Amino acid sequence: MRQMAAAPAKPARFRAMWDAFWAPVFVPRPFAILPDRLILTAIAGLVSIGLVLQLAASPGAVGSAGADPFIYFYRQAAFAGAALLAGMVAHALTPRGVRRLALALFFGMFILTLGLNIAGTARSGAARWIDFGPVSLQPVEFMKPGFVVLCAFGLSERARQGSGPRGQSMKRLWTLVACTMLATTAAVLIAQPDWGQTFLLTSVFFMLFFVTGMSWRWMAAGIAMLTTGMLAAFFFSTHGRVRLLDFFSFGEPPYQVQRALDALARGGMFGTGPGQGRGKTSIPEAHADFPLAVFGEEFGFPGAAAILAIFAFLCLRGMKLAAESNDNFSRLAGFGLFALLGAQATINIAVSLDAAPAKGMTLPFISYGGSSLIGTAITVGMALALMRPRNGTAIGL
Amino acid sequence: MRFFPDRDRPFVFSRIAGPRPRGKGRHAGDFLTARFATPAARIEFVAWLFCAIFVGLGVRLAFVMARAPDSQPARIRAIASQNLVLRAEIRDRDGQLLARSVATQSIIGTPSDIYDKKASAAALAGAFPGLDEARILAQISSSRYEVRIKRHLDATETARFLGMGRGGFRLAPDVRRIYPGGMLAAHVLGYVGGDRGSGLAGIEAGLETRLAPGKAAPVQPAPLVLSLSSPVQAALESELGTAAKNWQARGAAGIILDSRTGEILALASWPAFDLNSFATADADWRRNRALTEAFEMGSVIKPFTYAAALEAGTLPGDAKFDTRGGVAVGQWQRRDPVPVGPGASIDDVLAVSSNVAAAQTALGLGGGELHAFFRRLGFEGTAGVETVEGFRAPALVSGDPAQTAVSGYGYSFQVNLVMLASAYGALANDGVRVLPTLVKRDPWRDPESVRVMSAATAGSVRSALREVVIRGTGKPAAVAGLDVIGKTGTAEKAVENGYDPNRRLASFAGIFPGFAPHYVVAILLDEPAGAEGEAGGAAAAAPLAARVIARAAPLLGISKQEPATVDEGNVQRKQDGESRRGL
Repeated sequence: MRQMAAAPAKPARFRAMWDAFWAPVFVPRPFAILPDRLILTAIAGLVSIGLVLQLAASPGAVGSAGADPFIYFYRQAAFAGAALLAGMVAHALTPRGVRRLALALFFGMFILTLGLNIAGTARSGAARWIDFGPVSLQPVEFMKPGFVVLCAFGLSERARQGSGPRGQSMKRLWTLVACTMLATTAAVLIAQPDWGQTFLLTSVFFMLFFVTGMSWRWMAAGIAMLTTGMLAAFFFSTHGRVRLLDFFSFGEPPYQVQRALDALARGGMFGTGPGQGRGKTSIPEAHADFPLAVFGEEFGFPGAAAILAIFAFLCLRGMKLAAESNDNFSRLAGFGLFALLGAQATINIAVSLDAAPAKGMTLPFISYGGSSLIGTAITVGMALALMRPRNGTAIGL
Repeated sequence: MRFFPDRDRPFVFSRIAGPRPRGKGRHAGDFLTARFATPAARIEFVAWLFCAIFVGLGVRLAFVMARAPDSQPARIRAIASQNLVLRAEIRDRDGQLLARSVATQSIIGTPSDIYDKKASAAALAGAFPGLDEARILAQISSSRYEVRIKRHLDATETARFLGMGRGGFRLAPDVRRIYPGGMLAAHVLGYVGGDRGSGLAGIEAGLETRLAPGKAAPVQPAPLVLSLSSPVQAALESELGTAAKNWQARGAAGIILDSRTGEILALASWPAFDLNSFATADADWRRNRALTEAFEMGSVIKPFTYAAALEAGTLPGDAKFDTRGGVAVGQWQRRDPVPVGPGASIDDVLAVSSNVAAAQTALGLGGGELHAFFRRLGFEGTAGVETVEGFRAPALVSGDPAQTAVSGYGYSFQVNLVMLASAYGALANDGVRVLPTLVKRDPWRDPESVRVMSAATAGSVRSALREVVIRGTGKPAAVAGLDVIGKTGTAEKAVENGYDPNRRLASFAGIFPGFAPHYVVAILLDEPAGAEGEAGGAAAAAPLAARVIARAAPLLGISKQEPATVDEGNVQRKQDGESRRGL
């Protein structure tokens, strides 16, 4: 009987959902206002550094005769073009559009990663790529921004709830949703095993949680979980154990890191000069994993320090603009995307300097790789879309 | 300036007032909660935290870049650094070289330093006919830091490589283990393998830390001197191989042991293999049958049953046996094919190898006592020699009388040949069992030993065993002038449900010379071909033991003693008027 009584409300609710689904995902005139020019300048600087680096490192990375020695440069330039396009599209989205893109990216790439786990090509001990002829796709690079935005959505919904009994239960529900997302993503990444990305996403998740007003009790739980995760990496994965033991230095740093430190030491104050470095041939995968060492060797301390300064600037400026957003979701998601960028850069640089255990983590905008470059462009594009000045924000997916 | 469009300064966070956190309880975090009241304030905190981390990394960067660049790039985990210290030599007791490491050179490729990989692979394959071009190309195209292209170059090959002058390849010191004896003592010595050249079998693996102490001692250790005697070892191996082939046996093993010191003078297993090409040898050939294979030995155990009973006093020295009625415990019963008695002495029952008499003796003594004696003989645990191979005999369980009865004649528990020889050593050495070893003893230090029985008991059992060779199953083991003492064994091998009479183990364990018991010889033939009786311990193992003893005795410096009387049955000798019996 009750259900019968509630029936008349149904069409209206359905209509609301229908309207919400067709609500615009792109803003009307996306290029009328240029996004923050300081951020754009910083990114242009980083991408230029990346291209210069590929120009220098490409011949060594290509190695054998026959192939074009500058093939990595050309490809990186093409990736940069694609990334610019992807970033422009992402920056034209409304917050609702950002959420939908995040949803598509996260679930699409989550399924691909799951597929990789089941039948993946193993390289350097972890199945992380899908090969499509000449290019290969690294799903996790696209999954990361999707994950951050969805978590920010969940946590902002949590923060939006009232303090009544219904609000309290909804609050608990959203907390559960966000934590479940973290747990499943971490489980899939650990199965690869990709402890580096797991650590990255977990730390960004806790930064988001911290910003939405995490209580101190929750923070203690988070720190405990991180510690447990590291212990798990140590005890349950040979790969992880070797890397961690290498770091806590019962022994020298791993070979690549040793070579990277040598390259930096050769660079010294003024560098060996453009194209004169040896690190790009002596460090395995230097153009992807150790760009700081290659750049630092050729351009000296000022060059390497400039990279650090630009990343610090990006974090500060991006987070400031995110903090000034006028709705909870945009503020949180914008912050989370820049935190993702900053944390990834921190990890890569720390590894190059032997200040963190070795992980396969790219340096955003600079490292060679299409997935990384385009994924980073989408990250920044989404963040810029959320910082667009506007009057109000629709809620719901 | 218009380029910076902000109203305020670019890094200053404008505070956005948010709701203050509400809550009834106050807790330790209240101070911090107030400080981080709004999301914007918390974001600002994280942003500056990031800046602090980047500044920290910048400081670290400055330190790293201020270091003097290493003139010699460290080759961490490089192949070259692994093999630089030579393993110790292995020599026999007389100083004969058995194993030695020699320094060689190998070609190492560094894939990241090789630009033209195809041409390099082709050039190397052209210069060294043994190398496969496709394999080299795969090696130098891999993501490894260094790959080993060719090991152990000789002088002409070294010159050829140096003459090539290809970038990305170099000569690195390497070490090769050579065994001058080839097949000699192959199972004892074992072999080395792997990138680091560490021991994989035998003494090489068992005494790895002695032969290659690693970082603890960066110089080549002193040679390891084994207890083996090369000529005795060679004699044992050749006789063992001939007999095993004649009898079409599955395998064979033999040992010669010095009962006074526990030193193993020869330890052989057949089939054998060449240590210098061990990788091509069948895994079955590489097994040391004297150590890894344990069997229910059968009749060769009987002397110890009598010894235990004599020692405990449950069997008088002049005991009389009657085996015509057989022996029975509950459902279990046993009869002898050739019953003896009444009035048969220990010598008589041992000479015909009576199972009934041994079972009766074991039952008279009791399982607990018997097994305690066996434990002192070393029939539990390992033989304790230095090879990595071995057999761990499980604990002897007493309680079931039927099981006690069969263990009296050598069934229901397994030992390997080295354990058996060590137990016979106790008989030879007047009741004291010296623990066996493969390493030469320091003559100034007393070896580790256990008194198993009194000298008198050992003497009476020896004299009974002498009778076995004089008139019993051990006749074929006799060697003129050496007064061999010993016991044959023909054991049925255990199969899934009981014992298979067609799969036998022919064995002989003996002591020589009988006039001054010193050395133990033990022989094992695994499944010699032939009907029962034609291919048992008496027919197959005892003659083999006789040949081994005949060849080994002169090598060990034993001179034959001409019997005073021609009659083998009468062992009285005119030597200081002393009776040889009971020695």
